[in-house]
Amino acid sequence: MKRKLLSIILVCAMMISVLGGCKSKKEDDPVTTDPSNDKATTAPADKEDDGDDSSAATDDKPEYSEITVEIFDRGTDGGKTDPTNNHYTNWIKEKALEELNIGITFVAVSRWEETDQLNNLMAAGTAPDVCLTYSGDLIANYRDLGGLTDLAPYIDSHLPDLKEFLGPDLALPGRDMIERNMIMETGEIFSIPARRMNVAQFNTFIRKDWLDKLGLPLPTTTQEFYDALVAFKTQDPGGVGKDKVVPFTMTTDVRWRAATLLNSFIDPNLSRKERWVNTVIDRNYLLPGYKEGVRFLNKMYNEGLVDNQFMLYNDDTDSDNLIKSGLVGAFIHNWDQAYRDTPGLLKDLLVNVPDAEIVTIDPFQNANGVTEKDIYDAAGVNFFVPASSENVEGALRYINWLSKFENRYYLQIGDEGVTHEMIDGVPKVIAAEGEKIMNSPQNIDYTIMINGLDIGDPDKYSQALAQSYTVDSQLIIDAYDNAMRNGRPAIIVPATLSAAGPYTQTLTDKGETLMAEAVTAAPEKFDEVWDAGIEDWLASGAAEIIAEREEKYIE
Amino acid sequence: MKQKSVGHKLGLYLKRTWTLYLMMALPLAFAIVFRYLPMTNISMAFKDYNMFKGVWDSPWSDPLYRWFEEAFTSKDFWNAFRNTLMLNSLDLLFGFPMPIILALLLNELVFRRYKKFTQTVLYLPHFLSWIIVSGIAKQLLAPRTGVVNVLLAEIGADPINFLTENFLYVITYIVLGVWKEMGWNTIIYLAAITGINPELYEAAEVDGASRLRKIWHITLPGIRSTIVVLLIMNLGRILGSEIDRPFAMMNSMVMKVADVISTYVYRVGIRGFQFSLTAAVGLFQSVICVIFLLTANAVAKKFGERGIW
Repeated sequence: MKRKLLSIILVCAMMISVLGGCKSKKEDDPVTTDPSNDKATTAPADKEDDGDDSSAATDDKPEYSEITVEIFDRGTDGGKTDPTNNHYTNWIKEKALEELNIGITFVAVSRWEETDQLNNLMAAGTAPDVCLTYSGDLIANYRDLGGLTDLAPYIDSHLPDLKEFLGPDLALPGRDMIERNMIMETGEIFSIPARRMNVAQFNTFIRKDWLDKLGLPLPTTTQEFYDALVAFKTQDPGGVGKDKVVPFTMTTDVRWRAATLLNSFIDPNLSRKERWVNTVIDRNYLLPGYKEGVRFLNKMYNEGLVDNQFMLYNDDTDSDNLIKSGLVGAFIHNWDQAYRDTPGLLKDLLVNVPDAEIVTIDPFQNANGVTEKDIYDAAGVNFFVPASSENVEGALRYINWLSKFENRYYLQIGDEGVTHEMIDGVPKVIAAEGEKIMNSPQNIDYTIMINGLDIGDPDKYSQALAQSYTVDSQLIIDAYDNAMRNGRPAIIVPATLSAAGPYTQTLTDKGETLMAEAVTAAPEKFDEVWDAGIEDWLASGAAEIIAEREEKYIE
Repeated sequence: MKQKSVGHKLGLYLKRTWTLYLMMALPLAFAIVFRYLPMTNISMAFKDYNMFKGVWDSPWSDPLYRWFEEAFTSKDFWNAFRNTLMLNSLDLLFGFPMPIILALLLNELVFRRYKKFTQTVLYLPHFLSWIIVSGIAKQLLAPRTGVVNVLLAEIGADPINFLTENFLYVITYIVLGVWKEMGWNTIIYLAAITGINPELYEAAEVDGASRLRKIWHITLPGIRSTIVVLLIMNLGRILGSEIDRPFAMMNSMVMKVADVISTYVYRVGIRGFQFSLTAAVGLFQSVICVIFLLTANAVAKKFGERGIW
C-alpha cells in the first residue's frame, strides 16, 4: 500500500512538474515582452515632452510604433561589440526615437548563414521589418512565393530622401535607381538596392620584392605575367624552398580567384545580348573564349605554377595562410583584398617577411589589346520589407531617415579622434578601440543604402578612399586605378526573371567541379573534360535559365 | 457471462496496475508530440510547399507524385543514391567485422592494464567530430603539404592524391570511418563477451581445447545474438546517411563518388529552396530503410535468431 501511495505521489509530481513547465513558459512570454510594453507606454510621454519643446514637429510625428531591423552578425575576432547593442545602435535608437518616434530593435542574422537564418525567420513570419541580403536570387524566391511587400506605393510619399540619394540609374537611362528592381509588367517594387560608391571589383596582386630580386619589371602582358610565375618557380626569389613556393594560389572558387586572367580571354566583340543571355548565375563559362582562358590555367597548373591543393580550399583560409607566410607569388581577388585589415594579408605577411611588397598589376589584355575587366554594378545590397511586416510605414520612414546625409555620415565615420581623424578636410580611418569600434568597415551593416564612404564631396572621393585603409595610401590609389582601368560595367537588363533558386546551388557546385576538373586535367584530355562538364552544367538547369534570358532580353 | 468475467478480469488487472500505465503516459505523450505529430509534415512531399503559407495551406502538387518523379528523373539523385549504397555497403563490409575481431583480440590479452589502455586509445577517435577528422586527413594527405606526401617526396616518389582521385577518395573515406568507429563498437562486443559463462571456458580447458577452438566454439557463439542485432540495425541504415562525414570529406574533384543522399538533400533541397523535393527524397530513403530493416529482421528470425523485436 505504501509503495502504491509512493508511486501515485511520484506520478503526480511528474505531472505537475511537466505541466508547471508549460505554464511557466506561458507566463514567461508576457514577462519578456513587458519591457517593450513599458517602452511603448513611456515613449509617448517622452514624445510629449519633446512636443512641448518643438511645437512644429508635434503634428508631423505619427504615433509611437516599433520596428525590427536585420543586422549582420559577422562574428569576427575579439574586441568587437554586440552588433545589436553597441554605441552605434544606441545612437540610432535614441535619434530615431527622438526624430521619428520609432522604437528600433536590431535582430542579428549571421553573415555566414544569412540565407538559412533568413529562410527560417521568413517561414516563421517573424522576419524583421527591414531585411537585407546580397542574394538577388533569394529575393526573387520570396517574391515569387508572395512573401514581400510591394514598396512602389510608398516611394514618393515615404522615401524622398532615399530616392534623391540613390539618384538616376546610370545603367538604365531615364530611370531612377530606386526603381531598379521594378517589375516592368506590374510596376511593383519588392526590393530596393543600395548605392555602391565604389564599383572596383577585381585586382591581380604580385610580390614586387620577388620581381625586383629577379630584375623583372611589373608584368604588363599575360606572357610577362606567365614568365614571372615561371621565374618564381624556378629561381625561388623568396628563398622559401623550390618545392614550397606557390607561384599562383587560388581556391575552389576558380572563376573568382582567376577572374582577371580568365575573363581577358572572352571574345571582346560579343554583343550585349550574347553576353547577358549566356552569363548564368554570374558565371562566364559559356562565353566564347572563356574556355581558352581555362586552358591557359590548365597549362599553368600542369607546369606546377598553380597551387596544386586549390581544390581542397573551400574558403580563403588556406590560400590566405600561404600568402601570409610568404610562399605565394601572385593571386587574384577583390580589388583591395591584400590591403584590408581583415584578413590582413599584407599586414601579416610583413610580420613574417618584413621587406615584402604586394602591389597590383593590370597585365591581362583581351584580343583587342585592352585590359578590360569587370566592374560592379552601382546597385549593391538589396533591402526589402517582408509581407508579414505590421509596420511597413515605420520601416520605410526609418530607412528614409537613415539615408539623410547627416545620419549615414556619422555612422560611416564615427567620432573624430576615435574612429577617424581629419586630414585636409577628409576623414582618415584610424583603428578604434573600445565601445566605439565598428563591427564592419564604415558600419556598412547599419548604413544599408550605401556601400562605400560618401563624404558629400565627389572631388575628394579618391582621397577619402585611400585614407580609409591603414596601409600606404599610394597602394590604394594604384589598386583603384588598376581595378577601374578599362572597366566594363555589368549589363543591366530591366527584365524580371524567375528565381533560379532551385538551380543556383547545383550550378554553383557543378561549376566548381567543372573548373577544378578542367584545370587539373591532363592537357590532352582538357577538351574532353571541359565539354563533358559544360554539357552537365547545361543539363543541370543552365539551359533553362538561358532560354528564359533569351526570351526576356530587352535591348 | 463469459464477457462479464473478461471485463471483470480486466478491471481487476487495471485496478492493480493503473499507476504503471499512468507512468507510461508521459513518455507516450512525448513520443506522440515530438515524434509522431511532426510526421504529418511528410505531406510536404506531396505538396507544392510555400514557406509563407505553411505546410497545411500549401496546395497539393499536380500530379501528387510530382516531386518523386522529379527526384527519380534526376541524374544527380541516382548518382547520390548509388554512392550512398556503395559507401555504406563498403562501410558494412569492412567496418562491421573490425570491432568483432578487435574485441576477440582484446579479450585474449592477459594484462588487464594493457588491455584497458589499448581499448581507450582505440575508442578515443570516436569522440572527434568529422570536421576535425577531415582536417586531420587534409594535414596528412594533402598533395603538397600533407605529411604522407611530404615523406613520399623525400624518397623521390610522386605525390598520391588521396583526397582528389575518385578511387583513392573512396578508400580514404572507408579507412577513416573504420579507424574512427571500430574502437567504440568494440565496447558492446566486449560487454557481451563478459556475459559468457566462464564455466564453459573451464570445461573447454579440461577437454584440451586450444585458444582458437575456444574462440570459435565459445566466444563467437556467445556473442552471436549481439552480432545479429547490430547487423540488423546496420542494415537498416544502409541507405541512411550521416551528413557530417561525407560533407566534411568531399571536395569538388570527387563529387561523382562523394555526393550521397544527405548531401544531395542539403544542397538541392535546403539550400536550393526545394523543400518538397527534399521531403520526397527523405521519405523515399526512410521507406527503403524500413524495408531493409524488416527484411533483415525476418531473415534473422528464420535462422533462429531473436531479431530486434
